[in-house]
Amino acid sequence: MFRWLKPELPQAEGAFSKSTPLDALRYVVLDTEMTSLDRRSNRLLSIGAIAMDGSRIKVGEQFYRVVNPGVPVPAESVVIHRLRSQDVEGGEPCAKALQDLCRFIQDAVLVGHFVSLDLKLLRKEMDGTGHELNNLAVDTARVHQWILRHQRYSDDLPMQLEKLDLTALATHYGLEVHDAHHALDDAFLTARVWQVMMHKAQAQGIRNLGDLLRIAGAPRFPGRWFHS
Amino acid sequence: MKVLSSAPLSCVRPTLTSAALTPNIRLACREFALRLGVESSHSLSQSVVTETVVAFLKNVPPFQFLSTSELARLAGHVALEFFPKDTVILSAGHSAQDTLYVVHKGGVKLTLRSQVGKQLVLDMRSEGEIFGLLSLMGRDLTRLDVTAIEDTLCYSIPGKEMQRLISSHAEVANYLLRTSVTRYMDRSLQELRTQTGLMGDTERLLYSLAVKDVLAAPALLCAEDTTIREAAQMLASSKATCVFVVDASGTAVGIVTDRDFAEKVAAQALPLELKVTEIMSRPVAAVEGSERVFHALLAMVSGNIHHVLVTQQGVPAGVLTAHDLMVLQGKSPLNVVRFVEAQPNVQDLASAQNRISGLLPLLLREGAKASHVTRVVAEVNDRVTAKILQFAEAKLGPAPVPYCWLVLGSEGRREQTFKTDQDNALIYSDGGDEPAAREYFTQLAMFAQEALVACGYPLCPGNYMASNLRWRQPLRVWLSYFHDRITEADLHGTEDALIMFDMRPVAGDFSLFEKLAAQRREWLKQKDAGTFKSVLACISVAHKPPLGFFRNFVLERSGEHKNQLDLKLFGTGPIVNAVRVFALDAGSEHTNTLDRLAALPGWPDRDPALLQDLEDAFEFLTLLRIECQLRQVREGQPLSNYVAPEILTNLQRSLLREAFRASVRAQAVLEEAFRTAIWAQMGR
Repeated sequence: MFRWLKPELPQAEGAFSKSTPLDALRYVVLDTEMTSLDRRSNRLLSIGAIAMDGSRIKVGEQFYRVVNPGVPVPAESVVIHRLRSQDVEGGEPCAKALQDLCRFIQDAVLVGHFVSLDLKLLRKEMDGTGHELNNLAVDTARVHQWILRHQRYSDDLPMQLEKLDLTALATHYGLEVHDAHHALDDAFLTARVWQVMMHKAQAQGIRNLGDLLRIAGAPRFPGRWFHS
Repeated sequence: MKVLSSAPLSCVRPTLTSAALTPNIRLACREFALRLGVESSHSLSQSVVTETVVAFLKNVPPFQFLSTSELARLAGHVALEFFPKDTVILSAGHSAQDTLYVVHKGGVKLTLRSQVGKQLVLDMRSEGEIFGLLSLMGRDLTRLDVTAIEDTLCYSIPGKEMQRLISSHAEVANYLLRTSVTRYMDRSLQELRTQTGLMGDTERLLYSLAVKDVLAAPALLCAEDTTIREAAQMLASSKATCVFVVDASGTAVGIVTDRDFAEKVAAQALPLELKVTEIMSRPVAAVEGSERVFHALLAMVSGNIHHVLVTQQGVPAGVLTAHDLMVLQGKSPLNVVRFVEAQPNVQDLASAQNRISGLLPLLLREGAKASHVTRVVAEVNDRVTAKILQFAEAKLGPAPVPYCWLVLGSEGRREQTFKTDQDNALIYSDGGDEPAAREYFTQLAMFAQEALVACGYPLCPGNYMASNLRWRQPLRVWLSYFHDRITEADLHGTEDALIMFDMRPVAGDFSLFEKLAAQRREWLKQKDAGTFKSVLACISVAHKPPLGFFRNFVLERSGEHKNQLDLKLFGTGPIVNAVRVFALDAGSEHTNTLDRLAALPGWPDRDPALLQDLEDAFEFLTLLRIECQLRQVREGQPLSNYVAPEILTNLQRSLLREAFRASVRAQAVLEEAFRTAIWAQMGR
């Protein structure tokens, strides 16, 4: 009864067993904006995240930080995320933002669109800060591909989708799409896409965490492969 | 509790962080706050996501009463939930959920399960409307199911937050209290019925009065070992029409009504010394005295019963009858029937019929189903017709040979809404003085036709009337009509059959019709009837419901009803036609579409849910037709079956689409069953 009073130990691994139903999981859906797509030199600019309790998107449990990357923001990326050097100057130090992020995430299952990109960057930025992000992660792009492959013919959705970007996916699942490329906005949209997908996946036999990771799990430690 | 609306969330969060708490607990609280992503330096109102929620709630009562900063604060407690079509969101019989839902996209239906397991749609909620409220307020919602009727997105607000709003904002409290009385109980009526401006004082009585306030009679009670004779004596010596059987603990276990004495005791000649438990019906429908009259009405309508036990804290206290409710409503269909019987001549009957026109809206206001309404309308029309024939016989003298007056088409199916055309026919007995009979029935038919016109039933444009010699014939000619129709069927001239097979006797010697029907049944069973059935099937799939209605607007292209939809031709028509073929094929004698559906032995495995879907679709389409006609009456327009799509609500449109889908499925099954035969016909 007083279980909630006990401080929760950080339990990045094994917090949820593979047999936990999708509805009983806590998810944190996240998105980042970065200076470039070059994974050697890119830096974190902003992080947006929103929590889900099963399929419920917790509007109040949201996280957004603008980070000072310590380097000038390349002009070609400014037009995408609209964060100019002067906008990120007042941002938090990266280490502090990542510390807050880890606290926000706790033991949640991470969800993101092409989440490996975000994870690689986050893990790179965390290197040497003493923080680690070892949570299980699910890629909505892969969930989508799996659903397409396994969908019944009677569903009236088109069988193929040429583009896999978030906007195309959201439109595909019947969501109205807003002006994208704000990390929190995109995280919210990803959460809504995941919410719809979750029901479709469940209807197609994906019941628990184990099933989900099998079809769409992101590699756990891509960073280590990279370094080794 | 007064709320500092502009304060960041952490300030109004639990006050547990006082120094008195142990470090562990403080840590836990901080963790808790962090989990919620709440930190004082980041006010939620800055977030784009929060703004989306605020912008939406701003237009939704009762949240529109809140300031933007209060809404932003509320948004912090909101979750966005997705329910795929057909998800049961709240389930009857489960403990009340401590959440208020606001529909963001899509819609839900609130349904009540009756004691016989039927689903009664009580209400619909669409975008910007709320549900789950009653459970929130600790009220009795355990009897309601809430189901998503399409893919639905809802914002859910925790009960605790709602309680806080209720106690801090009088407008919110007032709104919720008001709607919890009228909206929950009355929304379907508001949406589907009183939209036609029919909300009068009597309804307010129905929804505001408690059962105990209108309680007319105390309940007669008897013990389980009472004999039938003793119970009958109890009834006879009081004005009551039913007696409740109670067990040793005083709980009502069964009910015996005056009808039981007629149907079970008298008809089956049961010995009067048997116990009442042998003839009682169970379970007993009961409402608490504190509940609204509306609940009693629902129990009656959904259980198709006339007596409801009223309890006081579970103890039997009184009985409420359908008659009591009708007295409350001011008019009773029963009275109307007696009213018709009492008229001395055609003129008075005509003016009486005029007054009866008010019956339909009244019945709708009582919450009767559309099919019940049309049945009552048919009953009244039958009585008027029978009365007119009485007048005719009084004038012309008794008929030289027995005859039977028949009604055809929608009247034959008991599916007339407002007064529509006369569709009737006459059979008279073979033999006797034929020329005299011919002359007599010509006079009779002419008299009836004129009198029916005087009573507000216009002539049939297709001339399907007994005044037409073709439809006023001795039995042997009628037999030849059916024989020719069934054995020599081809595509031409079979349209008569659509009307002829929906034939029903209303006055005179019914045995004439029985003979005709028996012979017809034999012919339909024979092998060569197959062609006839396939011709009928072929005609029945001719009019495809406009599934593209909502995208392409398949409407009348020109003329008086340009850009309107014919609810009879494309709505009820395809269902009536498809069901008729299946009923005839199954040898069913029913004429009413719902009766035909109910009597079908089964349905192809291909689509097992189709029967129920067709029933629902038919009920809805009938109701929609009635409503549209009520609107026409109110606006002084001529009656028609046309509807302009723009006057329909979103909800009605989506229900219409569902209804069309059901009839398309029925046509598909029909086409499959008669495929080869239909093709052969087409090729001819």
